[in-house]
Amino acid sequence: MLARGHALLEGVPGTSKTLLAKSFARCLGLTFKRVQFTPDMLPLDIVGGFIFNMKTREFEFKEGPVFTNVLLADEINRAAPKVQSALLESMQELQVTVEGQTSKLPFPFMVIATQNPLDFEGVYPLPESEMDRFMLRIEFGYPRQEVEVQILKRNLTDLDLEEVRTVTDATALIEYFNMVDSVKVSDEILDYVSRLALETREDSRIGLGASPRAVVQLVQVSRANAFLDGRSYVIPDDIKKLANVALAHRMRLDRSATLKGLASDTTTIIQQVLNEVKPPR
Amino acid sequence: MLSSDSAFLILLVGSNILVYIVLAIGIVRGRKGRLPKNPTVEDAFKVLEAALLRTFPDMPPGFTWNEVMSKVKSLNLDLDWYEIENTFKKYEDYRYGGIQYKNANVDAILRLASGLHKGEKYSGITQIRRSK
Repeated sequence: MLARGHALLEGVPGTSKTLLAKSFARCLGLTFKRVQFTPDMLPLDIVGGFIFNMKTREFEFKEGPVFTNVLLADEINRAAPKVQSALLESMQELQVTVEGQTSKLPFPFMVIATQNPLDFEGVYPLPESEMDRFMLRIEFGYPRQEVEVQILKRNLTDLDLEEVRTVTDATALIEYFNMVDSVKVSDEILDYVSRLALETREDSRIGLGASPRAVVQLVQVSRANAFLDGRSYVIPDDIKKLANVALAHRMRLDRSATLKGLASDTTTIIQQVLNEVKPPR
Repeated sequence: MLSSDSAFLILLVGSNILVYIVLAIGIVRGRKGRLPKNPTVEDAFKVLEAALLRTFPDMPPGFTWNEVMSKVKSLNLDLDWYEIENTFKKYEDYRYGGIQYKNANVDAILRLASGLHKGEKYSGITQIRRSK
């Protein structure tokens, strides 16, 4: 949120992705809407469209669920590519254009999309260009056993979202955005990030390396991390901490390398790149 | 055919030349590795980096100073860790944030480098001896 990006949550059903998004929005004092993506959806189900008003006998623009601060796009890979594109255009442009009329989305605006990595039937996987729109991909696994016991205890009574305290609001968040923008990034750090990206593009095991948008977003999210750590500057540890969640989902393995068993996932390769590229010291 | 005296003379001169060459190489290397009279924090960290690479030859090139700090602390060297961490923080402020440092304890970093240098090479199994 502080880096003004969007997040893709990947995990099996029942791992609290929806609850997390709702609590997150409530905690930040932001408006929240949830859209369950289905194969029969249309783009206007997301962005809105013109509806004929019988009283005024005029077409009026009815805003879609995208007009909110935090939008939870549940199971985004279930919707047809056309619907995915409509949402992703909103994410990039922060505005919606329907029949020539442009409407700005509320600010701040963040999309939290979810998908089940084990779904293979009836899904439309996001292409690389669309995966690149998500600043971070966060994987949701099963909780540890002791954490699961805590979850079970809490669920013995009904969960009340009212218990989640609102600790800030949109106005304060905008101030925080300005503070994040003032976090310093030295030329050497920028050079380091660029060398990391170059390494991912030149690695023979990778078919699609980190894009310029990917490294811009990696730097931006590192600034947000530095801000949360109370620093006014980015250090190489910020980059290393976030490189995997910011880059892994945007890269693709080389097919022949996969067939030969040279690479199984981009996460491992990124970790190797981080180990081999010397940061500024 | 050379007399034994000439052969001995040639051998003596040759060995002298060899000794002087070795001495000259040693002096040049010594000057390269010698710290300036008033080493800065950057000088100290360069010495520390060299000591780290000798102590942990398997350490990948992509290490950061924060990663190193947690690694060397686990060696239980008898050093003033408060001063070392304080100096690390000041160096970090300067290196990445351009914030000029004051009263950075250069000696603390050099002592850490020296403490690493006295230990054996660490490859995951061998313990480092405590520096005396």
